Order: sequence, then structure tokens, then C-alpha cells
Amino acid sequence: MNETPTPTPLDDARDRVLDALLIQHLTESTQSTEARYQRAFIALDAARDAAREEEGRAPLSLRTSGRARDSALRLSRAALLMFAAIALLMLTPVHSSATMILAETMTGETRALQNASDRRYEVAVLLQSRDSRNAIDDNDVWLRGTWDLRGRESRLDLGREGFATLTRVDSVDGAWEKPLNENARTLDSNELWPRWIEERDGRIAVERMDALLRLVQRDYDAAFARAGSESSVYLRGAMHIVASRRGDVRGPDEIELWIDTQRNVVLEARLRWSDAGPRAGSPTRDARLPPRDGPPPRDGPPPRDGWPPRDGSPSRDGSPSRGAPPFDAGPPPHGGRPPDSGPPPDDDYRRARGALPPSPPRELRLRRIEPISFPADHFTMPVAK
Amino acid sequence: MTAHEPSARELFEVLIRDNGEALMASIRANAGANNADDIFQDTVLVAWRRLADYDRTRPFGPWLRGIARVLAMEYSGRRARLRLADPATLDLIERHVAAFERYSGTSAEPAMSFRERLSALDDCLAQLPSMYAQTVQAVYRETRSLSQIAVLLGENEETVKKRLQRARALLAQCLTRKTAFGNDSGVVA
Repeated sequence: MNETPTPTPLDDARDRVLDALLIQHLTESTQSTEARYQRAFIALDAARDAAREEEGRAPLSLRTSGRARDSALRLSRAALLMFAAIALLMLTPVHSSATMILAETMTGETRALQNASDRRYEVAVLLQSRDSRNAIDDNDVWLRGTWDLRGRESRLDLGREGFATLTRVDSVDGAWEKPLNENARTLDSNELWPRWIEERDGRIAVERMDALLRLVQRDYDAAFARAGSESSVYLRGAMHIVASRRGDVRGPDEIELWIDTQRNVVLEARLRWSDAGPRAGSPTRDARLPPRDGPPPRDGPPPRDGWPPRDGSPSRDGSPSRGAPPFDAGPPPHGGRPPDSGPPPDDDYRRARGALPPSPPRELRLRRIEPISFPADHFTMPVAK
Repeated sequence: MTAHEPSARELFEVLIRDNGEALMASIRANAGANNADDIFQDTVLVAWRRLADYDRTRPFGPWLRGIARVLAMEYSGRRARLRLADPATLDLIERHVAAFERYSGTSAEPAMSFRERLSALDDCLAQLPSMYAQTVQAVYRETRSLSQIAVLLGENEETVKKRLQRARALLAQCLTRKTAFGNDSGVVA
């Protein structure tokens, strides 16, 4: 009987690599690959959090000397956290799938950032009215504008209907703004938005789409379904994610995202803040999503688009609507919050020089506009006349 | 003052995603499929901790795979079922994976992902004689064991094994012709 000869290193290497490539090509899906990345990143976060916790707990004198001694403890804590996180992922397939979609989109958006491609979002901000529990009506004040991005540069042009627009720019040469009817001036802060939404490390999530997605991924409970009749016609078929805030992270109570999963880009985002529980007329998270397994309905009247009417906000004579602060007047009375909640602490929010109130709006909407291409000097500070 | 920079962690995630599939192929080739996920996860952890050691003038993928190789060696000391390649074979494996990573097909598209590169295998699989292609599909896509295939086909298990080896050799030749694979010495032609 012939014995199988021992393979040479050349044959062995060839067979092993082909074996690996065939497994990858014929048995793995994008989802299983993404799940692997997620497990690894969760393990990374768990190890990092455990290390930070230990660092914070140890007295200063022990922080260096105790490191080696604590490493076993940290690893075991990390393993425990990782196990819990993975178990959670396995037990909640809906959430883990939403997590995967968010992670892939986050990667897509981060790549766009690195590729320095031009992106534009139509922005609509619904300011807090005196009675924030009312459903959205024609007396509400909407600020509108555009948010333009090219790589790490961004430009926010925002104003009230019928009023001049204020421009704030964060460019590679520094931040600047052009207030109403004034020359452009440099800014000592590159923040475009007040601190309505904040990442754990203190960065403002709304200034970068990938940061917003990261925030949703980490601090929100997300459910998803293919967008159906609950969404605008042009968004149907996109992945509709509805996320509710978990814990006391600074951010909106609810974030809705519509994601093009083919291109991994966010088509539209709606962020809602509510100080006194669910607003009248505001459907629950589950009611907002179509049935998970069903296709989007094709019949019935198209839904209300949901974007505020362009001619609705200002009165005919150009004066502010009832309850509306002038665009550059700074925060509304009580910072837009109910009187009993009191103003936010001074260090909570930073002023955006009147363009936006320091306390959160009721709603912020971002809608991707494409294709778009900006002139070369779009982010450059104009020379004073 | 500069515009908002992506954090090191964000860039790290992008790098892992960009190089993750080549890393997984390398781990499976070096250490087999059984422990591949564990080694992958540990590689990501170690790479993050040692990110300061990474020389940014060099490609990230080989650095990551180097970490995985060391970890696979550590695993092999602890886990009896891990079939780690010998050192000479490990070098050849890295050359093949690196060649595959550089493969840009006919489009010369430098931003081709590893998954897109894998489509080169489809061409090669299509060129296999049906008997070989059937065996490859049964082993990999249907994840059947050689003995199961032998029973199904009414053949000797050794015959099925040799057919699979022959199929792999033909696929290797095909990939080498496409410059997606190293030649007999592991070097890209």
C-alpha cells in the first residue's frame, strides 16, 4: 500500500493558503465578517474600559507599581465584560444586526472623511417653543440651511426663512464665521454646533456623521427595518434605524437614521429631544417602523414628507412668528426649557454666537443632498472688504 | 488650530477592516480554522496596545499578520489541536498572502478589497474539470467531510482526498498565472 508522502513546505504552504482562501470565499458572508470585527472591537473596548477603571481606582502612588500585579485582574474583568457583550450580541439578533449596519456605515463615513469627498446635508433645526409638549405646528421656528463637508473641513450655513444666513466654518486653516452683514472673522473655537450631543470623550458628535453613528452604536438601543410607508417616498427601501437613548449620555432622546446599505451612507437623520416624555402625537419607536419581515407597502397615499414647509415660518411682513426668537438673538427665555427645569449649567453648553441656542432644539434634521461639488475656496475665509 | 481629526481608535478600526480579511486568511493558513477567531481577536487587542510600535512608513497588513503569527505560535504551545505550519512554511504562506493582497486583477484598481480579489477564485473554479469543482464545492460550500463525500460518491476516501489536492494544485496554477499567487518559491512572477 502506498503511503501519502509528507508534503514539502512549498506544497503545504500552497494548500494551506488555498484552503484559507476557499473557506473565506465560499463560506463567509459580509455579515459574518462584520460580526468578527464587532466581537474584536467589543473585546477591545472591554479591555480598555477595564484598564481605565483600574487606573482610576488605584491610588496615584500605586498606579505604576501596581500595573503588573493588576494585569491578571484586568484581563479577567475584560474577559467577563467581553463574554457578557458577546452573549448580548448573540441573544439580541435585531440589535446586533443594527450594530453591524451602523458599523459598516461608520466605516463608510470615516472613509469619506479620509477621501476628502464633497458632501452636503440639508439642515433643519426646530427650536424649542415655550410649550415644548405641543406637536409641531406652523408657529414653530425652523432654522434652515446646509452643512457642507470636504474631508475634515466643514461649513454650516444656517438662517431663518427670510433672514440673512450665518456661516460658520471649520477649515484646515482654522475656524471662522461670517455673521449677518459683517465681515468674516476668525474664531477661537472650531465648534460649529453647541454641545447638544457629546461623545464620551467630550467631542461634539453632530459635527461628524461617523461620530454620530458611533454615539448611536454605543449609547442607544437601536431597532431597524427596511423603510416602508412610514418614511418619505425617496427613503423607502433604505435601512431605517430608530434608536432610543440609553443612560445619561448627552444627546437626543431619539435618533432616526435612514441608511443606504449599498453605499454605506446616511441619507437622512432626525434627532429629537423631549424634556417631558413623549410628545403628543409622537409615535413610539416600534410604531414608527414597518413590520420587520414584510416588504414595504406599495399602495396607499404617500406619507407627509415631514420636512417643514419652506414658506411656513416667517409671517408675511417678515416679522418673527409668535414665540419665535430672532435668528441672532441668542437663547430663548429659559434656554427653551420648561421653567421648572432651570437653565443648563454654564459648562454644559457653549454658545454658538446666537446662531443656535445653547440648549437643545426640539428636532434636528439632516438630509443628504447629492451629487454635490463645492468650489475650491468653499471653506476658505473670505478677505475683508 | 486644525479641523477635527479622526481619533486613533477610529483610524484603527478602519485599518482593521481594510486588512481584516487578509489577516483572517493568514491566520487560517498558519494555524488552521479551529482557533482562527480567537487568534484574530487577540491580534486586534495586541495591535491596539502596540500601535505606538507600528512604523507608519510600512504597510499595516504585514505588521498585523506578524503579530498574529507570534500569537499562533503561543497558541500552538497550549492547544494540542492547533496545526501550526513549520517556520519555512510560515514564510511561504506570508509571501502568498502578500501576493494576493497586491493582486489588482485586470482593472489595475489599487483600492480593490480583499473580498473583490477573492472573485479571482471564481474564474479559476470555473476552469476546473467538473469532478474537481464538485469536490471543492462539497468540501467548502457544503462543509462536508471527505468521508461523507466518499460515501455520497461511492468512492474511496483517499481518492476524494487526492482529487481535492489536485484541485487545489490547479487552482494555485490558475492564481499564479493571474499573479494573484506566488510561484513555486512563493515569489510573484
